[in-house]
Parts: sequence; structure tokens; C-alpha cells
Amino acid sequence: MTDLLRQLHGYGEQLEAHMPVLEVEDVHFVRVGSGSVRPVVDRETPRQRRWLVAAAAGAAALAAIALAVLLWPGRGGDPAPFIDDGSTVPSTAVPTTAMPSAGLDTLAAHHAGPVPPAAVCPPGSTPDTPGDPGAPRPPAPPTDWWGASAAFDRESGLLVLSVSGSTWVFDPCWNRWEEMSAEGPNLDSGDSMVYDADSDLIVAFDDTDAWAYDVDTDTWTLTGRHDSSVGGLILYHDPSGLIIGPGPDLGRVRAYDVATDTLEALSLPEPALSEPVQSSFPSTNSSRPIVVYDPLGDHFYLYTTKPGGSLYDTWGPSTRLRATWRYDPGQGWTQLEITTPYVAFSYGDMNFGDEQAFDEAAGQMVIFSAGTLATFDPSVPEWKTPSSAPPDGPGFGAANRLVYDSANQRVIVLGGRYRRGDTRDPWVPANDVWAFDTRTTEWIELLPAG
Amino acid sequence: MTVDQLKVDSFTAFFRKVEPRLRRGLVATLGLEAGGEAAEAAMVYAWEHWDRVGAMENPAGYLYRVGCHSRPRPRLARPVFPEVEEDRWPWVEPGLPAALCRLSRAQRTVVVLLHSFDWSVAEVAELLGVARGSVQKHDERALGKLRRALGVTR
Repeated sequence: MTDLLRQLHGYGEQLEAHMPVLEVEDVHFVRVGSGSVRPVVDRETPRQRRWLVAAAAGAAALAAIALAVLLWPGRGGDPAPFIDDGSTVPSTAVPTTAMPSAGLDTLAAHHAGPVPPAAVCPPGSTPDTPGDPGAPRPPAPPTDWWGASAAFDRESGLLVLSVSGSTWVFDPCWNRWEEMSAEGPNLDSGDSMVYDADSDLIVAFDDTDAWAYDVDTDTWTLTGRHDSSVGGLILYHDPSGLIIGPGPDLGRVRAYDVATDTLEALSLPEPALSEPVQSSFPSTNSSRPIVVYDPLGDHFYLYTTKPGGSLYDTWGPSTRLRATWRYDPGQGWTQLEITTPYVAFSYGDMNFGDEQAFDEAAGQMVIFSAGTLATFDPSVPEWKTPSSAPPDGPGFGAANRLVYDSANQRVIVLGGRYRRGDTRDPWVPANDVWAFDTRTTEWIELLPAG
Repeated sequence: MTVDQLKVDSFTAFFRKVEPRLRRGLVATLGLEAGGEAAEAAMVYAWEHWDRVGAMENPAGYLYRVGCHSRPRPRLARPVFPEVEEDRWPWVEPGLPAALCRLSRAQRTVVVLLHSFDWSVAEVAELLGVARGSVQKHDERALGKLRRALGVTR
């Protein structure tokens, strides 16, 4: 077989032979009334500017629909690379702010598209057998506190991890990592990833940028740039097909549609979400509450602590008032009158927003952090604190993340940092991977530390 | 309003210098037809904003990004490359175009510009606005993936 470079060179010759050519003489400089002189491409082909016509027609159709005003993406800083045909489309896209909608009930106005079936492990796979500890695995995040971002692609059955701009996938059927070729956004703490089921994409939010990753084509795409941070968007809402979550302004919930790159601010009915959410956060520029979405009951559940003393009390729960909240569309937030356990996040209350997941197979919320495990069954409702992780398992740590593995119907625990000894020891990145079966409360080691 | 002949002349000179390279960069990224359309759109944009574009340090790199974002949604459609004309280039594997489409956008752009269009690493880095080391890394990964996809050992 011919050398690859020679093949590429030969294919380049073919591309050159068929390269569309645009000569400057093809561009006519015309006067447009009393306006500026501009070039008009002198080409009568079906392709000519059809995408502008389609875009303009689509925009007109959307504007005519009596819904909330769409947020048009624009580029902050550099001028927007928006093509102008000189007629009705402005040369620079100007972002607009969506008007607040009537609470999260507006989610009912959106409807998710068809969702691809979830992957299952093939016959012969070994999901319960630890993988090879010597095999390649993702690098540790560059700084002490900010972990990687992860989400589970239900259709492919892979956990997607973004760390330091590189993209890795973990196959829980074989318990091995694979580095992908795509270079994605450089995510850090405050950024998040979520699987958007009806678009079959991993959606990531990096400050003002929204990105989408397609596992099938191993491609990251910048889907939109917004006039404010889109950080904090963390949950996929199954019925509406939207991604929702609090933005940088605590208490302001927003919804994002990756298919149309629209960001919609939603107002909440009183009492506002801000009070319980604010009480669970130290001063930080990101909003990462301990909240999950229960697709079985179409409810959101929030775990919160309200410190009575120093927010950074390391040595115990102090006078914290812990609470569990449920959001019902149409009724708003309700604090459940149940005993809520204490979960030791890093330095007491400093959570990173990924220490929880909803186990759909068990129908329970799971929180794990700093060696503390808590499960919440909304059907009762009741919290339990099953036995902690085995001695060799994930122990005291910070910033670990939980991701629900739909292929094996259990929760994957990975990432974060831990100390080998006491608080005087340095933090060590955790690179082992575990699974927790909520139904059996069993821990399974998927990949030993390496 | 009279035609600003100086503006026209400067843009024409810019067009003749930059457009061919810009077009090849966008073809490498978006495919043959889409890349050509994107280059066309980018040059129109350049004229519309010539006062600003003409003063940029790296107008080609900026217009490359303009062209990439000129495509309408859905953005996530795969690029299209023509099938190999085996009668004229019999040594090129028929699976090469499809294998190129399966590369990430950055890898495909780099490998096509470097090896199909004979650009230098520096030229590719300037167009994409990345470091030369990044170009070399993308190239290395792309060639590895292509070799595995085509069953080529060298």
C-alpha cells in the first residue's frame, strides 16, 4: 500500500483540480443607492447565498412565534463574524436578553425530541472486573481544586471527561480509558458538562461559551457565545429537552437549548431559590448547588446546608441546619420535613457541585464526598447513610464527581483529590475509578489507582 | 457617494494575496464545497469591514474564523470530501476521504494543509492561531488515526 503522505499529496492534487475559484474580477463593485460600495459576487448558482436566505427565513419564523425573546449569540470582544448581505441582516449580531418566563413551568412549553436508546454492555464485556492499572489514563488536573468535567453519554455508553483541554472517554464495560483526538475547551471549576439526550451531545459550558461534543465523530464544536457566563448550567430536563441550572447570579435559573443555541432566563415563584442555594455556597464566582433531577418523578431535589458558624468550619458540622428541598413545577420549592444527614464536603461546606448523581435504576439521589455517603429515596422520602467506602476505596477527598452509568445502572465515582494522612499532608490527585450500586450498597473497583 | 479607489485597490491586492490560502484552509476544515462557500462569505465580510480587517495583524486568521462560523446551523454536520478519482490517482486509497471526515476538525485541517496542500507548520499555525507545537501534535495524531483507519504502516 502506498505511503500515507504520498496518498495525501495525491488527494491534494485532486482537490486542487476541483477547487472552487473566486477571482477578484468576479467581484463587482457596485453602488448601492447612496450607500457604501460593496462587492457582489457575480455567480449564478443555486448555492449562491442560499444559507443566508435560509438563516434569515428561519430567524423571521422564530421571531413571529409568540414565545420568549430568543437570545441571539454574539461575540464578546472581537467583532462578530456574521456575514452581511447588505440588505436586512445587520452586519453585527447583537445579543438580546431573554425576558423572564413564568418560572420553571415554562419548561412545559418545550418538548424533547426523540431520545436514542441507551447503550448496554455487550456480551463478553467485563464491567465488574477492574481494568489494567498500567493502562493510559487522563492527566491530573493542573491545579489543586479544580477538577475535570465529566458527563455520561447514554447513547454510546461512555463517560466523557474533559481535562486540561484534552478529551478522554471511560468505557465502563471494559473499565478502560481512551484518549480521544478532539481538543476541546479548557474547562475548570465552575464549568460543567451534561449529556443532552435528545441531541445526543455532550454539552459543556465554559464561561460565556457553549460547546458540544459528539462522541461518534470525536468533534468539539463551539455552538454559541453569549453575553454573560453560562456557567452553572448542569442538569438535563428530560421532558423539555433543555439544560437548566442557576447562573452566576444565584437564584436566577436559566434554560439552554443546544439545538438552537438559545439561553432563556427563568424567573422563579417566591420563595426564591436564592436563599437555600446561597446558604450552601462559600463566596465563589460559580453556582454549583447539590441538586439532581429525578426523571422518574419529574422533580428536582436540592441538598443544602445552612451554616450557623464559620463557612469554612473544618472540624465538624457545628450548628449547621441541613435541609432537603423539592421543586414541583407549578408549586415551586418545598422544604421536606425529613432528617437530612451531614455530608462532609471539603473544608466542611465547600462543595464543587459534582458530588451527587441521581441513580435512575434505584430511583435515589446519591451524594458522596470526603468519605461520607448519603442516599435519598424520594418515594418515601428518606435519607440513609450506608456504610462508607471500603478501606481501599475512595476515602476522604474533595472535588470527586459522581456520574450515573446507564449502561451498568450504577453510579461511577472518580476524580478529585485526597490526603493520604492527616490535614498536614499534601493533596494527591485521585485517579482510580469506582462504582457504587445504590440498590445493593456495594462498591466495585473499576480501575485501581495507577 | 464616489468609489474610494484607494480602498478598492488595497482590498484587491489583499484579496489576491490572501483569498487562495484562505480558501484552502476552509476547504481543509469544511470540505470542498462548504469550504469554497465559506471563503466567499469571508471575503465579502472582509470588504464590508475592510477598514478594520485591513488593519489587523493577522487578517487571514481572523477571516478563517469568520468563514468557519459562516455556516448555518446545524453546525455539527460532517464535512464532505469528493471520492477519489482512481483513474487519475490510483495510488490513493478510496477510503481516504471518509477517514479525513472522521478526524477532528483541527486534525483534519492540519493534515490536509500540511500534506495535501504542502503548507509549512508556521503557515498553518498562523492561519489557525495556534502554536507550532499544537500543529505538530495535531498532525501526529491525525496521521496515526489515518494509518490505523487505512491499514497503512508508513
